[in-house]
Amino acid sequence: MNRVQQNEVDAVLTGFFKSQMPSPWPKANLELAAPSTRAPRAGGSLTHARLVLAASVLFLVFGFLGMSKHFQTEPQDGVTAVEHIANKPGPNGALRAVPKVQKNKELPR
Amino acid sequence: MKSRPKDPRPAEFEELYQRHSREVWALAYARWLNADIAQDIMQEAFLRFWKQLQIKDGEAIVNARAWLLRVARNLAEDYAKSAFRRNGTQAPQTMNALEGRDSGPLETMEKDEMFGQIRAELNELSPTDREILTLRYALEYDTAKIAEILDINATAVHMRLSRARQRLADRLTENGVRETP
Repeated sequence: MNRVQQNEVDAVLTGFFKSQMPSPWPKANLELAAPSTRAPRAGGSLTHARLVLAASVLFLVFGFLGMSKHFQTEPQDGVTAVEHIANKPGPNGALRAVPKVQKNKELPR
Repeated sequence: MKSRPKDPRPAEFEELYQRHSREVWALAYARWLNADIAQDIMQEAFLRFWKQLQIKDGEAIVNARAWLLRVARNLAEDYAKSAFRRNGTQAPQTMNALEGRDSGPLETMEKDEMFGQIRAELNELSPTDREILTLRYALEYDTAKIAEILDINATAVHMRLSRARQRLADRLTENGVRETP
């Protein structure tokens, strides 16, 4: 058997690897690498958006507070809503018999 | 940390591409033995490199070559998990040992057979041995330069290279393959 010599291996390997290399060598893909051509965002637009968002949140908070005051059902001085209703006279002028409810205690199920 | 260039120019990028793209390709090729995949990985590595340069507050790249080679290696490893590979799609070049050339059909067949055997033998080698062979024969780098790129001892490169060549010579002898003149 004819032994393959080292220089032949070198030639074969050089031929193999050279055949694998792209030819011609591809150019740098600057189309992909180029910075974005999109117009830069205007400097003030982000600030403007934040101001609009802050105003919206403030509007919601004050709106909620104003509305909740308008529809308040719980009287002052620590009287619960149930007691408040119970103390109101009924259609015939008599007070209703409502059991006293203890505050902060869980009702039996 | 090294100071970042204010505005990386395409010309500088082009220069770095010309200087390092073949090395990046060689490492990617050594991993998969597929020229198309290697080219994709090379382009992706350079794209990431450019994007990294664009980041104003990002960490500066001190050694572009080391950065690119590391990214190329990582990308080549990640390629194993990609959908392209999972789906079992292979570039035509993997199926055929050699792309079409202007040689005659008989010569082409002989070369295809021989290159197919070389590919099979290269697949049996360790990734580092494949990297050494690719840098040596594709880029014609000497032992010292290969050692520098792979960050290993020059003696180790020499030994690995000799062993791989010997192994290939044995296998080619066993299979009765000789170089086509």
